[in-house]
Amino acid sequence: MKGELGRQALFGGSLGNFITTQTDSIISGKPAFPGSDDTLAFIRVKLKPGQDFNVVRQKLDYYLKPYQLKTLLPEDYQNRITFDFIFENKALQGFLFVGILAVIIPLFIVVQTLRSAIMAQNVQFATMRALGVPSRYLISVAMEQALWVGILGAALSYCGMLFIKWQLFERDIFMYLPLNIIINVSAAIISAALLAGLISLFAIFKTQPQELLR
Amino acid sequence: MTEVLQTSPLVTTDGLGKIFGSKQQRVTALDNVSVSLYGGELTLLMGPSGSGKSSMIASLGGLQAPDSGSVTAFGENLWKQSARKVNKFRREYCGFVFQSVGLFPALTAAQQIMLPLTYLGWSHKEARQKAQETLDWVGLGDRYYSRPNEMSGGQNQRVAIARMLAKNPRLIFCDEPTSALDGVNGARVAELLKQAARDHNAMILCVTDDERLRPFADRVLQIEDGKIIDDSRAS
Repeated sequence: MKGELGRQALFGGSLGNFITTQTDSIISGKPAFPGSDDTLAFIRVKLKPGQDFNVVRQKLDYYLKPYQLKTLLPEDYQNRITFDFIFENKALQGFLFVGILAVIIPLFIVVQTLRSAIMAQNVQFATMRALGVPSRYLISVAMEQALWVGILGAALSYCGMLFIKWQLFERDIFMYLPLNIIINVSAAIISAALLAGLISLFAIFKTQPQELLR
Repeated sequence: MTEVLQTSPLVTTDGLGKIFGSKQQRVTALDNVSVSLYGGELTLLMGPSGSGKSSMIASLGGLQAPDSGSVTAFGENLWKQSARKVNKFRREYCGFVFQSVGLFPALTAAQQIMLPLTYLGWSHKEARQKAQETLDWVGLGDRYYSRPNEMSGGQNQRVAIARMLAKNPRLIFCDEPTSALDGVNGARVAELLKQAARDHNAMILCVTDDERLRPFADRVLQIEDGKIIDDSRAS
């Protein structure tokens, strides 16, 4: 079966999907536009209602593999062209580098600050140990502090990012801030805080209660 | 001095010895120390710096094992027990007051007392009641919600005493509890320690160089080069 939808020529049938002539040319090996040397980069494919994306993707990937093409969802495609755009643009590469530094430096600051804050309490922790408070409770106190610092740090980072986004938007620069990056950065900050808490535990337990005696 | 009813000692040391370092750096902190300490008494342990005062407290309080000799408390040879049992002994019987009071800056006076109690298995309600009771006892009932930076050094030391007393220890060890305090606060802390010994029938061993504490003591042990050179009781 052959038809047209808008300006796209489509092929299809009761057993398959409607596909563009470009896709058909790839699958069949016949030229889509005889005489043209245009290289195909992206081909849009629409699913029939109720059809399972994963099944269709599997079939398409099988056929498209020799041509080094891959099936993507619209949102994956959007992300891909955004990243391609960033990696092809020198100015944006610089911006990306600054962005990465803007994540790493606060992470380092969070780790160091928290470590110092917990270690500053080693006298208190040693006193608790002298009073017989089991170590596991002291670990939970230190780790709870670390968790809250991490959550606070992640919240502040998010607020800072929103502020930067707004400032860029005011200058007609759109900042792409996908949810998965926000989640990953927040998780990294909280993990770094917990790691700092864990590292601090070594210092806390290195101070023995008898060292409090002068 | 108030008369103290002396029964069997709460803690006894026999031939206690502790050496730090080796060869040329060898320092004898405790040298064959044998002493018995009783409940209801405030005992001062006085001596020059490096005489072995802190090592004595550390060995008696289950903080540091001696190299030789024994510490017998409540009928048990303390340092023959496993580390876990020594910790349990410290948790159940011992209280410590250090010169560095060790209060958490972010916690109120009541929370300082409640924190270890809740970790020791007390309910929140019980711990709160005990915090109020002990703060009243040390005369800080009105500083329930005060944080360390809102109180004087003497008041903070009294909170540390309240925290230590809250779990009703029978053996109380104090390390220079008044050295950073002025005369009035030092005397107040000394009175509290003496009263704690009486009210709780506790043995209090207080390491100090502070002569102002002498009038409050029931007994004074003088230590030098790791040996008890004088043991006098208040008449």
